[in-house]
Amino acid sequence: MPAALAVRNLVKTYGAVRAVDDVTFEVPRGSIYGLLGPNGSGKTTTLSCALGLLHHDRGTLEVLGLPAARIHETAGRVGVVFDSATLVDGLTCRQNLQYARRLLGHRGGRSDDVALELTGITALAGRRAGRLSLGQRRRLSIARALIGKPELLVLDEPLSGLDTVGVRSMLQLFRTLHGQGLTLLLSSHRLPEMETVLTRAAIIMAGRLLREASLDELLHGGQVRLRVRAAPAPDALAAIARMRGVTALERRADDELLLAPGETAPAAINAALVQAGCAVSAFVPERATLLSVFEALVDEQRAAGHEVPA
Amino acid sequence: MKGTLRVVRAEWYRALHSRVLFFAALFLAAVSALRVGAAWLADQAAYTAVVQRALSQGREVPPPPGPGNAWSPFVDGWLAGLTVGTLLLLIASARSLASDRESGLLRVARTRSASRTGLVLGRALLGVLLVLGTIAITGLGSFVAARALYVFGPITEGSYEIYSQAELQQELLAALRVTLPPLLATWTFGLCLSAIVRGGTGAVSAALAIYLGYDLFKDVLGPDQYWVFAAFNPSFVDNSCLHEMSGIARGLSDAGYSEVLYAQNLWLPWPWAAGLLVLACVVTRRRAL
Repeated sequence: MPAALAVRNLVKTYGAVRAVDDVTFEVPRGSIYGLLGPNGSGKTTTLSCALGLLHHDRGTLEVLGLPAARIHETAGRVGVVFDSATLVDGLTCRQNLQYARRLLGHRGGRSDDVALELTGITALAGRRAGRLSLGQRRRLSIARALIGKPELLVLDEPLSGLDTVGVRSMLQLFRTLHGQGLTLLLSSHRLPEMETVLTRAAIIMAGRLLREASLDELLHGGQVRLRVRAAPAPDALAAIARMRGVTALERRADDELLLAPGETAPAAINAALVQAGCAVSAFVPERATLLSVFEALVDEQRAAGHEVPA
Repeated sequence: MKGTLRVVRAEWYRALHSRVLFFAALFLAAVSALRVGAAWLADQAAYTAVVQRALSQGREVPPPPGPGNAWSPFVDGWLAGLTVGTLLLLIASARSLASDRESGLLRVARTRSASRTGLVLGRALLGVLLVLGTIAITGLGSFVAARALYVFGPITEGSYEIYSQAELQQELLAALRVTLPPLLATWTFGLCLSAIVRGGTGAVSAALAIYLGYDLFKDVLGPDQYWVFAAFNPSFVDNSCLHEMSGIARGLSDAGYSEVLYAQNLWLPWPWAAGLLVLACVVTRRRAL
């Protein structure tokens, strides 16, 4: 079975600016996939090309096994929620869904009532879209995308502009939809929130793909790392080198070390450093987060001499 | 083709359920009816002036004339409604693609069911319905008002019948037959600008500026103005066939299109419409949505 979405060697330029530079990734069916990166990193451009809304310069794009240019032939198997809630303001919520259903051209699949209920806006069914709040508009956009039988749901910046409660309920909605068998592709710059729902992610910056892996891989299997400040640093590094399974991942300018403890207990590492005569002034166990992974990738990019936006 | 029909269905649904269409229809019917009402008021004012003059001269006051012939105010009312209706159609078509691209609705349609060509063709077909609707609603508004205030009958000069009712109906049908093609070309003209110009406001401004500019200055071109579809539309500087029909309804013997001009009116807007539609499709296929 082909991937829900396959992007291979995508290149898109605007004049002299390379907005997307040789990006390759696949969204496996049944996943909640994150296309992550800061604003202006090329996420929306990548999605627009992948959905056949923007002509690309090079690369291959497939949606549910069909070329992106023929996305309309998927006949409603792809639901898209754009960053700005693209609704007909003069129509009520239910009429907006009816409008979308007519665009689909067939009955059946998820009904209007179910879509409204899933997104928690049943009570707003008769209200005009122009009178909805930002969060309600986003929910209506999702309800519209759920009309029929979508297999892939693409959401561009689904959390932007939402308050804490809105974000929480939106994330819960994503889990519910995933539980119903939908493949979700979420483009976002909100890494901490995305971390709680994604199963796989691609991190993109300045149009380049920095890392693509399952969330487990990206977060080092949830392994704890240790941030240690011990002086003198050379002695501390020597002591660490003697410990089996412990790896020094990073040494910062202020002699702070980032250690991967492996199977060794943190207390044993601390004891070994003290035994080696090191003065330990900081010893902080840390779990990797998408944000820390992203920061590390940004540092890598800088070190490799790539231009990194401020 | 299926995608095109889906766009038509969806857009028709949207048009039917939006208040704009309802108020536009009401407005057009009112314009037509008001034009008829204005003609009736003018007739009444003319009789009042006659009465006043008779009284001041000490003459016997002439009896009030019976209700006049409805044909002339009916056609004039229809013409007034269509003049405004043409502008509304132009505004609607110029807004359609441009403002939907601006709001992102085109992207929704594109990812759900419609090819880029389908997005344009669907709106073009919707235009056919709206043009027919405009002709119908303006005609209805004018007819109801004319029927209420006047009486339909043959055009006579003294006891001589210039045009019978049947002849008038035939002339009217002939005029309406050639009213349709330029209106459809006008719709595709707006659609084409809608595909080219970024933003709904810009597209509407450009469409109105070009259309009204041509309308105001077309007479400078003399007979060459008839190579452009817009010359045949009911407008402020009106050279349309329906305008000539208005002359016929007044009993003017020299009113009416020549056969050549009638044929030009009937056929020339079609290649215009086709060309503009193809251009709109080509532009939409190349654009980012």
